[in-house]
Amino acid sequence: MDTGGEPFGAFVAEATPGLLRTAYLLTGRADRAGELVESVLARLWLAYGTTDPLPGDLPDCARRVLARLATSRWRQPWRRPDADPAPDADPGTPDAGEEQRLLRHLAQLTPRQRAALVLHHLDGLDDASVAAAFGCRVGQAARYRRTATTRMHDLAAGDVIETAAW
Amino acid sequence: MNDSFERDLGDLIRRVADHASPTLDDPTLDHSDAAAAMERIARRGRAVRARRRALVAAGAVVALALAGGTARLLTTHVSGAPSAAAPSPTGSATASAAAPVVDPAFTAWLDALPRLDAAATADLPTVRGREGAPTLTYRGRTVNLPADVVGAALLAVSPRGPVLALTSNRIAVTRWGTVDATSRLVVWGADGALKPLAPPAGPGGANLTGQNPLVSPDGTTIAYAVPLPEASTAIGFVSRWGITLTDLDGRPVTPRVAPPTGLTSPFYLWGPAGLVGTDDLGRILVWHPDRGTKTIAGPVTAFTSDGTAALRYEESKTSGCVVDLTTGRPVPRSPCIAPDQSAVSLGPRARWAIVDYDAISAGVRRTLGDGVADLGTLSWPDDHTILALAAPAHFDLTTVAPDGRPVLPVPALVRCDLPTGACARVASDQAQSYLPSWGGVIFQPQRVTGPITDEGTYLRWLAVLGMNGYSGDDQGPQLGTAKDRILLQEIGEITLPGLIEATSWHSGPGVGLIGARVRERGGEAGVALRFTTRSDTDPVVRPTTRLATGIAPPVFDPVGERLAIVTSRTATTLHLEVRETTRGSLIVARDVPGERLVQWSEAGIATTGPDPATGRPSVWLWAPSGSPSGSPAGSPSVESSVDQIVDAELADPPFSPAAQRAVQWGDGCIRTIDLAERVVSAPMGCGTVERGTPSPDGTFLASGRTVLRLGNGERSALPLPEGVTLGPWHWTSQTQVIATVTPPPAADPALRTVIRCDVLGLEPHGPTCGSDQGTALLRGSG
Repeated sequence: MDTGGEPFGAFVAEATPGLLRTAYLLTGRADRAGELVESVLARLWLAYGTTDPLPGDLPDCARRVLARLATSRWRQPWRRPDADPAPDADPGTPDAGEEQRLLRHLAQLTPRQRAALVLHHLDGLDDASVAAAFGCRVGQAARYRRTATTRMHDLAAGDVIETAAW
Repeated sequence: MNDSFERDLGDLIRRVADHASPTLDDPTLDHSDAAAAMERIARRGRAVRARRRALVAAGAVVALALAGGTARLLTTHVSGAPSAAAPSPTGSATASAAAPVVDPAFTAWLDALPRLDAAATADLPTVRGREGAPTLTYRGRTVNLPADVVGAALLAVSPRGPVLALTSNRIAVTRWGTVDATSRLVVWGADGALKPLAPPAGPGGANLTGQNPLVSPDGTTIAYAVPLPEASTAIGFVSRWGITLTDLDGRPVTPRVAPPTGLTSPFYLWGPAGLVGTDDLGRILVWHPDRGTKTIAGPVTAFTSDGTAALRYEESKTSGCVVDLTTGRPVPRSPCIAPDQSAVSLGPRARWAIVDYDAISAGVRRTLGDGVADLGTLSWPDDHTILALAAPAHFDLTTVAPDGRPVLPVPALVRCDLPTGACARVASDQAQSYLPSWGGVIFQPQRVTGPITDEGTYLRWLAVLGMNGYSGDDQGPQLGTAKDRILLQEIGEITLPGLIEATSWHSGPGVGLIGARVRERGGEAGVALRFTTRSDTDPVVRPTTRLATGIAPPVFDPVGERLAIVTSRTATTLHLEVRETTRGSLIVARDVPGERLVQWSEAGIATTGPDPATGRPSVWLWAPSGSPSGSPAGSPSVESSVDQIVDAELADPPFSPAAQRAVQWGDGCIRTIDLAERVVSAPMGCGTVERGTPSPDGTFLASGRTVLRLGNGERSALPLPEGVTLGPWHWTSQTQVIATVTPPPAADPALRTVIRCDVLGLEPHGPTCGSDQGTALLRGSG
């Protein structure tokens, strides 16, 4: 093995848990979260796998790749998000219902709305950082987040906008 | 909604993530091995290495784009026992339970659409009828379908007859346009019967749960993807697929040459060169059961629907990125796309690529309303037109409309022309649903700079890119007016002397239709205009054709094939002419009760005015049966409808674009009336309000400087931001209203700046109107 891969291995060890957390909320399923994170790391490896030292902003870069993959990967039919996420949580745990409800509601959002919301609340990204991750304008990112929040509110209240629209 | 909700939401998100973390983070991962594994795999692929060098040199990490197969790289270093969800070694039906959700039949249905449409749009199998009695018509033949069928697609024509995928409505259509596996493959035999195709047989004769069925071009063989025994990561994701071939009776078909191993996803399609897919390294695999496997360098981003060509990521501008799947060679000087873009769909002859999904989905939202989410699929009737399947954002079988009508989970079909980006609802497809149709929308193709601007012939690609870019729902208004001019954003303007206002517009493939009020011969007149763009590669409006002239502006039918215009009137009657919109030829004319022509919805042409007998405000619908081709078939009928509104106080109630309208009643309450169903909703808000303009579904009412949100018998009034008033163009979607900024620009007071306000997030501060988000500005006469 090329020892040049060691810094990247360390990066994988350090970054994977956080990326998995985010990916889980973006995909709603543990298996797809793993797949998404694998894709992110594989892409980073191709660019920085043997770089030593690694760029300091590699974690941010990973998050950007994650956001972009999460909002585009559903273009492949067999990887589209589910409206009803698989029940990864053990239904016997106290938080299972809450978790499934959250995942189900997140699944109602568009990919970018979901990503904007999760990146903001879970990773602490502001609108500018989310916009950078999406490659869009700041105002647009803010709109994604606002709309997502409103829809989550309506969903939580049982007022499903989409159904009311018909 | 308030700040506390957002805080609670954030807490919940973090709590759920924390709770899931122990499950997600596999402590058995050996990350140093991970690096080694990735390095090994990277060394195996020359194309990958070349790409890595190029990208590292360019520092374009985020722009790195490879085929999805690279997602499997880390699976080689996961140690520990497979999860309990791993498929069984037999690859039986049990195994499929652990597979990712594939929606096999629906995928087949969607994938088949291009083949169907490529033949001819006229050959589209059409499902008609609802609620228990659908029929399928294809090439002049009709067959009764099972009661639950809502969609049908032609996969191939076999020696026994057309092979079709039928989709039922038993399970909800998801927001992504996917449905469950209730679609089934059938052969429509010469005897008129629909015979189901047998599923493939697995070990022991049991039915195998095959996925992603593909039908050979000659219709004799069906290929099912099956998970391989080792096809699981430690977290249960199927990473390896095999293939099973059957004939139309479900009997196994043994290929002369074995299929390739190592498929990381099911084959995408079955074209003339064979079944087409990709491998771990993003290379293209073309397997023909008789001729074996051909491997073509990748990474690939899209295939043409007929399986004849692929679009690879940019490897060499000199060789081109479109590759001929039959020869395996690149098409010289063919276009490439930027490394950070993904091609969603590649049209016939690889002339166009849909590069950014948002670009199209936004179009569908604007065509069908915000209640409709993203596209389910794309298909190509020809090399510059797409048919896009759109499904409602979310619903299940318990979904009902506000008026209590059941809502069927039926996708809707729209047709978009790529040079102009113009979309229109296709009314004659299986999308016979309750989905509203707002009419069309004119995109604004833009000339963007990028890696493929170096050759003019590729401008058509750029037009696709520029329809929205990444900002999927960030389109401003597209139509405006100035003195004697109608402004079509980004594509030009139309000079119309005496122009007072543009009153309506509609766009269809390659054409745009505009209705306007003009000052002519000392009085006012209404005109209907038709325009086209100069060429595919130069989307600039060229001189227009005047289709019709009347005493009031025209209205267009939902698909832009016909127009209706008032040519004369009496005190209680309008004389309407219905004309086709290609040349303006007269189809039929008739006197219709009413004072005003208001709308042409799917329910018919609506007029309003006092009832001649009682004097009460009324609405009439006329459904002309004359065909656009010019043959006045049948006899038009006049229907006096929506007689429930005789108590309305407003004689001229405002209509929304969705064939609904909000109206104030004597009790001060607001209700909507659905013209198609003649249904009056429950009160959506009570109390005196000034006259307003309803949003397409009646959820909001724009009134003066206020937007009312209506629902549950209540309403809440929210003011527009300071300096903003409602403008001449009101609702562009379910939740976006057009407003004007005051004062007008000092440089040209005659013009007005128009912005778009998003009424979602009304509470507590009211609509957000913004130019900081790049909302397009439009100058209008107001």
